[in-house]
Amino acid sequence: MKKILLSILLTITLSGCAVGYKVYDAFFMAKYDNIEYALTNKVRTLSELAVEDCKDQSKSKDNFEGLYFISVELKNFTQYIPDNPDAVKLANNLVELSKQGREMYVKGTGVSEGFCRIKLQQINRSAEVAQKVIGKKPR
Amino acid sequence: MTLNEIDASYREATSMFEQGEITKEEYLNFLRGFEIEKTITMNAEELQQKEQLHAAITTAISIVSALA
Repeated sequence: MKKILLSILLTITLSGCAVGYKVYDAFFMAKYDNIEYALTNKVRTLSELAVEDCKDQSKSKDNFEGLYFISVELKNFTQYIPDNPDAVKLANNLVELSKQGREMYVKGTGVSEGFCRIKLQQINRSAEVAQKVIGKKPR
Repeated sequence: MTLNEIDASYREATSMFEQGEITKEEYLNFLRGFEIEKTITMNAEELQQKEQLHAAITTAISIVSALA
């Protein structure tokens, strides 16, 4: 029976129908991955805790460097997992957000405490959104 | 993430900029960040839809297999 159902899925997909592509993508989507989830959780946790260091320019710079590193690590990890385009998009956006924060510190000008806090909140909210859906991927 | 949280964050950033607590460059950085947050929410919704569809297909397969 599974073969029949798979044949139907394949037929719909090959017919070029947009719905068929969605069904195909959903059925063969990448499964839950512990490392993908853990790296997303690291971004979320670091961005949550780093708010406490916002008064310290040097520590904040290190925190943003750390966030950028972990986000890039997540992006690279997800990149070559087959049928995983949505996780790649999420990771790319986390990279972009942490890169924006890092850039301000790299420029060397005095970065305000307010900037540090709100930028970390942006990263934290986004990481949480990503974590929620990555955690629900099929087992 | 709720839209209310983003809205509150946006208002706070705007207020800080108006009061001179953050620079124009920092404010622009936030605005670009809000755009990315919006994209992340959309990407997450797309992935969530696939997960729900996957679960529905898997359930359907189980039911059909049990009937066969």
